[in-house]
Amino acid sequence: MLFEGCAQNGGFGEASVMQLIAVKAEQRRTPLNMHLELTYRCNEQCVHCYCVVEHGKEAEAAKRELTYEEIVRVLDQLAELGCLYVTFSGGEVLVRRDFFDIVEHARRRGFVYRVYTNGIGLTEERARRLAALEPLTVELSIFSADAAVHDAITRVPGSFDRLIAAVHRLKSHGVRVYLKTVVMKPNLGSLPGVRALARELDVFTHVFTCEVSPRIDGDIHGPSRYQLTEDELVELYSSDALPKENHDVFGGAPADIARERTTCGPAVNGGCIDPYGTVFPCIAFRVPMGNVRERSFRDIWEGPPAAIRDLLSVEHFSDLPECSSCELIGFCTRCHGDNLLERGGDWKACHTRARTMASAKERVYRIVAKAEKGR
Amino acid sequence: MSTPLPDRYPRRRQVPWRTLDTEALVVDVSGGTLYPLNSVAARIWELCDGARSFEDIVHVLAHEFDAEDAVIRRDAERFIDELTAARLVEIATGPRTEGG
Repeated sequence: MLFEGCAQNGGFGEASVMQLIAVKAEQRRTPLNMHLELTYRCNEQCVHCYCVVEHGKEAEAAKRELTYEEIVRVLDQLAELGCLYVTFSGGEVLVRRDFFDIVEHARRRGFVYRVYTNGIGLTEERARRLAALEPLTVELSIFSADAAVHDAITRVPGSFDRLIAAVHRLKSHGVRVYLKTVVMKPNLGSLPGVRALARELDVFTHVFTCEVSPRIDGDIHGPSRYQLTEDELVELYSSDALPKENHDVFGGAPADIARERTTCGPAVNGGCIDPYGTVFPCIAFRVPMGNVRERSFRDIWEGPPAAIRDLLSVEHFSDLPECSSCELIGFCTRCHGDNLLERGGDWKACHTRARTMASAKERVYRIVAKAEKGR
Repeated sequence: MSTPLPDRYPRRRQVPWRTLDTEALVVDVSGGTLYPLNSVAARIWELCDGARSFEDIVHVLAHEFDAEDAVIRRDAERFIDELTAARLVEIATGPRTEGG
């Protein structure tokens, strides 16, 4: 058959074709997925946030942000380079008065887009308007099913109730809603309750992370004080509330795993543009590639500086100096960007936070294995 | 397909898609489905521009791909059927509104 692998039996989502496209996108460094931070201004002040603008400096920050016209130009350039997926995030995207104009242009240019929002500004009118613009997903952060715990983290009284109201509004308009939770010290025990609430709300899915990123302004100690300790991580990973895939591991000798496992790939098939036009390899890896106010996105993407070429040369864990001899490599989910922020430089060295998390996962893995052996 | 093919098959305007090299990604946002298309399917998708008839599409494919006309015709019919069933293209029978 001429079209083998594309359209048989109504299932033209063949894995082999997708794999071929993914390989080509990687080889060509097609920026398929871009993250656009539209603003760092926010109507919440989450204790752990990595990018929030200080109170009183909102107007100053707004003046520096890319204008609607500049964002439109960037979106046009991204479309020409093959970008398909765009994530609009903040800060809080809804504080931008031109947010819907930006989304409308993205739709006109054939992007699939996701929106990160805290939901507290999502009125009925805005929910209806957003639904009409067909987002792939709208993703909202929830920190607890207990309003007091959630509001203490956002530092906005009533934010929980407004979040839940936003979820109902979006759902009523048929929007695919994701709920996301960062698990930290103030909400360590919240996960089972949040998962039950997500089921009750009938949201599309609920995901969580326990990685608290350092602030991009260099304040690594602010958010990190909320990070879970290794013992707390063990408690979390042992929870029945977690899906099984969180316990997946790679087996074998560390050197073999290091050669086999690929690291995350910033600037390979996606990147991040901050509210002021600076292009980064990803949300976390804050080494500037250039600024879209000075050069076209294509120029920036296709002519990366030496530091980014060095980053691009790292494909496997074996390309990093310490991973091939690390006994925890099978459990490690290191982040070059967070490591850069935490260390302030040598991002190729061991990511100690990832090591702590890997150690916790390894402990839980052994506990579970021992329990299964005893059955 | 038992009945003669209607004239033209314009892609739905709101369906996002991108061509990568010779392949393509098409997304049904409302259904949350990603359709990766191989090079031939991607070419047909491109040719579903609202201007070309089924015969036009078959004619272009016959020039670009090394296959028997009957095979091209049969497979193009099947694929366009699938695209219409997935509501990724529409069926247009009125006068043409674009060139081609």
